[in-house]
Amino acid sequence: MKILVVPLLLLVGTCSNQRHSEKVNDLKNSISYSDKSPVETYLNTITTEDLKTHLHEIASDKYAGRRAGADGHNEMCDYIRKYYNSLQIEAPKAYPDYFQSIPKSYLPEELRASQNVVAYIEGSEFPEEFLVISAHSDHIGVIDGKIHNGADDNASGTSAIMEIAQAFQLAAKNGHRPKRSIVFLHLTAEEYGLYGSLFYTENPAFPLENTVANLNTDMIGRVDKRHEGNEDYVYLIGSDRISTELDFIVRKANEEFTHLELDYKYNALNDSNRYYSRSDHYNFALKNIPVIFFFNGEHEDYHKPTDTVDKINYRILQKRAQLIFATAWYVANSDNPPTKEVL
Amino acid sequence: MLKYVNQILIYIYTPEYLVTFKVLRLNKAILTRNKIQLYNEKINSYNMFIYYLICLR
Repeated sequence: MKILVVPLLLLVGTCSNQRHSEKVNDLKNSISYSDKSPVETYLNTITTEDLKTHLHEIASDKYAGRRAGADGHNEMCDYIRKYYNSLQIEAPKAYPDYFQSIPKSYLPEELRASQNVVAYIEGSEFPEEFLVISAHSDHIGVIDGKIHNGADDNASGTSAIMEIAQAFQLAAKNGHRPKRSIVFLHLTAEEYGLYGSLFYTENPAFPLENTVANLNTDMIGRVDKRHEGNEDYVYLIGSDRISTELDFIVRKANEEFTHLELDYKYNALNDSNRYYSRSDHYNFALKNIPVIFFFNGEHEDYHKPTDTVDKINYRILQKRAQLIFATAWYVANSDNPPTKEVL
Repeated sequence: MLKYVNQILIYIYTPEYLVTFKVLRLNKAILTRNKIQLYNEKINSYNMFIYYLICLR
């Protein structure tokens, strides 16, 4: 009997492995850009000059380190709101002035009331499905009389999604409106415990059940020690944890357009830094929404007054923003949203 | 990027006083928000500070 059972088990095991690898390959092969040319056209409107202009503004001393709820942060949110308004990128109906207000009672005691900034481009075919592209807009303010400008954390991510938004808006105006709606979300009070994203996921401007993915950027303008001499990289965190397909999409986008090294070091489940739970995508992931966290790694200026604009690598910031744009393009225009399945 | 407090040693306290050792880096704000309190206590001969994590929910 044993003689029969062992080969039978081996056969079943082999077949199931084969089926699994076939499924993975089928999924991988199913991802392709039907027409690369518009992606390339609008991806190239994300320029180092524009990124630099936004980043210098956001990380300037006049916003005093953008502490959530402080005057400087409020004024900077106003800058973002005016930018979307000038591009005619709409505000959600629920928040016609782009501001999703968060009451003081929701936030830690030391903070004043604050707001997320929300803008969106309506989809042409699936307007009721939403891709959220997010970055936190706050930083840690003034400590011991020193302004913490947070050029990398997170003026870099904020300026990137502003540029991505203009690229999508330009495409829409030229007849390439995304099939799904794209939400540009600037979150507050991230530095104090991810409060802006927690509030958003508890009070979404657009239904979470129709939110197909969240692409989150936090610190994408610098190069860490591990990559000195090899600066064309980005860390991806969480991309394969809820949807294998989303991970394949970002890999495909990179293969076709940006050719960065995609570093999964911090995606390891046992990574002691636990970056997966340390930025705003985490609150979306807790709601079972597929996420990707784009990150450049820590550096010696992290949360220090020395995190300044002169240390930003604008070329690499541009490439990372372009990768996010190309990924978002695919997610927003594919026939089906990324499947919530881990293979 | 959210900053974490220094690495801490955590024992999960259960009614049976069974302790599970874990090394985690947690943010104080998140713990407070989730109504989790941290207590520290000197418990062994190595004079080491160990934190007990007690969930109040």
